[in-house]
Amino acid sequence: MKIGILFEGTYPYVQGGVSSWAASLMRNEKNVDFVAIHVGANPIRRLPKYKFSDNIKDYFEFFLFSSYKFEKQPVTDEFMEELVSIIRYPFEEIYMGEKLFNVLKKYNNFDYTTLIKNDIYWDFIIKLYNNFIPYENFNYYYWNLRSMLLPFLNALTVDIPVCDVYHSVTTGYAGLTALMASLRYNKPYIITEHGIYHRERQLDLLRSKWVKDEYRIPWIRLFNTISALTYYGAAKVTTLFKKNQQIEKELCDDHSKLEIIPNGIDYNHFSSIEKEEKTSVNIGLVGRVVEIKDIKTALKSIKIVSESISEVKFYIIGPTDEEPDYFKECKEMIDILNIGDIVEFTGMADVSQWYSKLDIVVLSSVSEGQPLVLLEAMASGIPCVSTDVGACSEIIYGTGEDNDIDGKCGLIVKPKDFSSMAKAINELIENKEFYNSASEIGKKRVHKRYMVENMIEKYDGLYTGVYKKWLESDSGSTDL
Amino acid sequence: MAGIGFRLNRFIETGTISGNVLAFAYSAIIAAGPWIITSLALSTLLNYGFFKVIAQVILNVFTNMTDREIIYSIQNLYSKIVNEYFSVSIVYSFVFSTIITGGIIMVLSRNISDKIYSENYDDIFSDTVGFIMISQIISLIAAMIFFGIYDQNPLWVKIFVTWLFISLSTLWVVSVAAVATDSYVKYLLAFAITGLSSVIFSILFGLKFGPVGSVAGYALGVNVGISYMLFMVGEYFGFRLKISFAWAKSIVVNWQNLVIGTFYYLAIWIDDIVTWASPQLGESYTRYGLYGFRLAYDYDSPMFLAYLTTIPTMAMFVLVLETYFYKKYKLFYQNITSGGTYSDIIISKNEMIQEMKSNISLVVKFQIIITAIIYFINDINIIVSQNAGLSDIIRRIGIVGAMMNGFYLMITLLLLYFDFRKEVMLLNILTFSINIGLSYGLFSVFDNKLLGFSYTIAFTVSTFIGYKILIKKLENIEKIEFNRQKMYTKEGFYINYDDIEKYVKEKK
Repeated sequence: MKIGILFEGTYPYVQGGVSSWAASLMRNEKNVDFVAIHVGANPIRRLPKYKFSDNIKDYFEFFLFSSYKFEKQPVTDEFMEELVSIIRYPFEEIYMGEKLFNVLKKYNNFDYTTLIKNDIYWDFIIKLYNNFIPYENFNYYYWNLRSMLLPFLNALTVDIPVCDVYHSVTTGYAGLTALMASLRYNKPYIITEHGIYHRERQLDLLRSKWVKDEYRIPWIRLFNTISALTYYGAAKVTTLFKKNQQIEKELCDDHSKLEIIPNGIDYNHFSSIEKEEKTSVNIGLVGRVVEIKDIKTALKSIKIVSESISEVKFYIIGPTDEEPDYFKECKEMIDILNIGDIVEFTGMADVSQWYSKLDIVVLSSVSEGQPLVLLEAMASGIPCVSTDVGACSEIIYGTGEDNDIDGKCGLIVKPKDFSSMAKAINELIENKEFYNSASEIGKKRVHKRYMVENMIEKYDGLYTGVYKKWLESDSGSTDL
Repeated sequence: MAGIGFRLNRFIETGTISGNVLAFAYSAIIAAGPWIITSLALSTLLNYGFFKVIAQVILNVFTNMTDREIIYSIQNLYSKIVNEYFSVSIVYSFVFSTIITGGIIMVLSRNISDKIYSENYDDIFSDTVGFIMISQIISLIAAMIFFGIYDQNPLWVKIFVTWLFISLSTLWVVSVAAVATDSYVKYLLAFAITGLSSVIFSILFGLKFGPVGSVAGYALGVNVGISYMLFMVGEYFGFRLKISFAWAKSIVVNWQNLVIGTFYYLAIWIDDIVTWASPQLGESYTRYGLYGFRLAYDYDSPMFLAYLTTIPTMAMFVLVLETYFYKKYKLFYQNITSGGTYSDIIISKNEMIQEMKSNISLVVKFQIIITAIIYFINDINIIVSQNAGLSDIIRRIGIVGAMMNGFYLMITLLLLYFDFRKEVMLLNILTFSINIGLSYGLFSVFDNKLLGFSYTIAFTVSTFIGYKILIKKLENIEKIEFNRQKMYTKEGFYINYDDIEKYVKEKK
């Protein structure tokens, strides 16, 4: 069986959460072959950060923000009329997702980029304009629409390699590409979300200064609609943890296709790491030095910790070259806080070797999915202090479900709250009993719930199940 | 012609009759000045009445001949200078140089206006030289092919006709760059210098060397004009000459302009060429030792005069285009680019179309009155010219055809104002096709009874089609403008397994 696995801006170019998970999944899933498909933003060549495992048999990449000359039929007026008839603003996402799916199923192989030159499109955007923002700069309106639509249209049009099952590691543009490949080649597709794509876009749009107020809500609802559309067409939608699934349910009526498959790590490897003897309290933050990891909050908390505990060291373990400006700001903050002698940036490193030196792992991110770094630290017996983002509180405090164990393996604080983070670190250092129990619970929890073997088994079952179901269905038999 | 509008508006804004007359005169000079001057220079040489006056002055100034000797020798001199050799050389060089450079000047014109728009003046002189070179090479090749086929021609004809031909091609090309300098007085002066020096050198050299001298003299005069214009271009844009063929790229990019210009001149001249080739009217010059050359004086002469009757159209068009229409045109595009709402855009579009229609109507009415007057004068033979004896049909239909040619030019220029190059290209090809088809067809069916009809019908049909296209396009111009803009995105590509492996190996 050949799985076409689609990434958007992650594997194989960016290290971290999704990419590490993907590398681990493909390396350990021995029963299937993979075609890695990367949906890039701007057309540039880059060096991959991962070596392809042997079962990655093919690779394909295209770019959303670029112009392609597709050798396909331009969109027809019939398609445009049907499309326009179902788009009503304000969007009703679930309703529109279903309707859009039916239209795309019927007309699945056009050069959709020609849509913007179609007369029906023009009349439609004029109607929207006149109804909602007739006072607006029309030139801005037109180009805003056109530039925002371009990646969607490219994603809908591009032909990716033929596979047996498509697996998109997000909704969004990659999800659309998977959906269209599924419709074009008559194959099933599944979605796995680490972070919830439309929620992330929502945050981006609300934060961004370049988007005018009039456009924020329509764009947010458009991304919601895209998620609803891809959920609707997917055979299965998986995510890492419960909180995410709750959000998915808002846009996916068919709850039977929703499933949780937590991340998994190599427990045996991490649990066998021997602790080194050391004279100081070593605190580590494992991750890329980028804004979303909010390294500055961690630095501020370390400053507070260092005022009460003299022998403390703080290691930031991860690449520093991704956001050079942010790295520079962090260094300036270290100078201002006067903690240069206790803070060290290690750069790219083998984290396994560092876990033997660390006493506490800190995670100060403002956004996460289900961070592998916490699981690795826990498997190594290191208690963690983490912000309350993504699945962190589930991981640290437990889910309360049968396949989990009770108890805390660290402490959770609010994002940006450096004072609470410092208190939590101090508590772990000073309360030896709590430290030891957290260390034990962490190991046990990972062993019970977050082993890579479990994860692989579940994905193996997922691929096989979806594929078998498709073979048994009318679609599968007609294709065969 | 960025500066024209400003000056014309200054005249018109005075609100006086004299202001309007001045504006019209200014437009006439800009639109038709070079043509008038060139025609005057040729008329001087080809019309005995003019020739006599001018030759007297020149011989007085440049020779030691007495008045008596001058008057005595002028008749002799006229036949010595103005003869079959001179006529053939001038007509062929004029017609084929415009055909060969028609496309090149359209591309150069676009190239220069793009550079002026982007304030990249440094390359204009180099580019002009590059375009001159390419037009000279093409002209040389064309002349070599012609004289290769008609090898019996005398050597001096081969050399000096080729030189004149190349010189005129160069003149048309360099004049495009010269007009871009906005120094209209200097521009007209350059044509005056060209005309005057051509006449002087033709007469002086003709007097000494006969036909070879008059042709060479004319070519030399043209080269004096070329030199002055090239100096104007260098003085205005800078004399930076760098060896680069970047300008050649603009030929590839603006290939439609190349076709537009070439086919426009082919459309204008093809009926003449067909008539030359016809056994009924075409005259061979082999008895004078000139091979491959044919003319049809009875056709060429009235048609040439007919062309001159379109000067009012051109002048009026420049006037209204650069003043009334341009204001509305600018407002429309300002609304598109500078934050207008959709209703602002539609209102300004409607006003622009309204203004354009009323301007076209004004130009058409004006030209119809002029044509009617000329028609009337022509019919009662008030114009005394050497055309006497030509059939009424050629005269009458030629004037109507020229009027339609003027209207056609107006419509196609308006289409080009909105950058509908493909449409203009197809229209020019259509006009050429109708003209050549009908020229052959009418000759074979009606002999020479319907001369001039092919030219007139071709431009009439194309004018109406062009107008329809223009109106249809402008109805949706806002949509067309938005849709045809390209997004500034890089060209996309795909990466597959082998690509990425290769890239990794390269980087390692």
